[in-house]
Amino acid sequence: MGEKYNDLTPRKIDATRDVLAYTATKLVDAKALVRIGITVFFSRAYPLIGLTRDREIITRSINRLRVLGEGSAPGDGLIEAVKMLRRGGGTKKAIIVTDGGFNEGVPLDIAALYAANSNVVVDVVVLGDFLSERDQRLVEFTVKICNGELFRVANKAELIRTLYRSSSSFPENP
Amino acid sequence: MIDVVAVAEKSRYINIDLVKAFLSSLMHRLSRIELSRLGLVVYSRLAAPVLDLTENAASIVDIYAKIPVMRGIPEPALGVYEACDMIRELSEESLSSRLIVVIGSFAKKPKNDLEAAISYSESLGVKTMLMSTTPRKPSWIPEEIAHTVLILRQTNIDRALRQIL
Repeated sequence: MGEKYNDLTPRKIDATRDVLAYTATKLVDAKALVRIGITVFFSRAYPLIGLTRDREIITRSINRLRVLGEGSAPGDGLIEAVKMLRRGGGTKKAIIVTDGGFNEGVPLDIAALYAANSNVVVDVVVLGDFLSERDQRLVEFTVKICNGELFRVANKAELIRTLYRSSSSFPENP
Repeated sequence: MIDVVAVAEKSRYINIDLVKAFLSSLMHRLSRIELSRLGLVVYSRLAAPVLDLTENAASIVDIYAKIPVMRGIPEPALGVYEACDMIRELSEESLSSRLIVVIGSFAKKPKNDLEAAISYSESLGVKTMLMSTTPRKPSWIPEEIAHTVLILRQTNIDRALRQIL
């Protein structure tokens, strides 16, 4: 059995940045009712852009994405995302893009409870094919209680398709 | 009108049944007050919101029960800051009353300054009350805030609630 083509290496952050910029702007163009916000996480988490439809702000901010530090705190990232969504109405969705290695911050299962109580659907996109048993358990719990889906992607094309699929539930243009 | 954020410890030091009993009584009592809302923050070494201020907090005990016991020395100050963040975002300053109720063991001296966190909440016009599930007043709590600590027992929950609401 041949190996899957993988263009996420050598630096997943570069591949993710390219794909995010592409899909986020496509999404804004295609769906007039969608706003996009981004939070980043490493050993900590913070918002990169607040909810907006401004293409330029979105692409400029995504293009600035780089490795910010060691560690991985997806729970903190999800909490920041839910806080960003908490004043808004309508469909609320958070998409966690990660390669695992969760080792910092608020445990993902606690953040998932907050998301579920705030009616935020959470999808998790795993880059690559390895997750530790613990991380796997945490993401499975998260998508289960947040009515989301778990995706595994091996290359940019799959990541684009997955992000499109994940955002297909967003409302169409009126 | 009142907004209350319960900041509940979930560590190996806390009496979980007592916290659940308190949260249940708090929720029932608030449900009888018109336009009152209740939110929940949990903490141990770290703090996290788990339920934003809502008029329908009927599931608050179940939510607390589902939170896994977290490791480390509990940091009530982080819980207070998280509750302040929730109140700043979701509560109107014009409300007649905004309250943070910390339910903790206070068993170990934390790293973060609780007095500073309480002082911050006061600067927002938010009163903070401390409920201890440990039978003795914690020795590390500074004199200035020691008077706000109420020792919680299964038998004095109603009295404690009358005192804070």
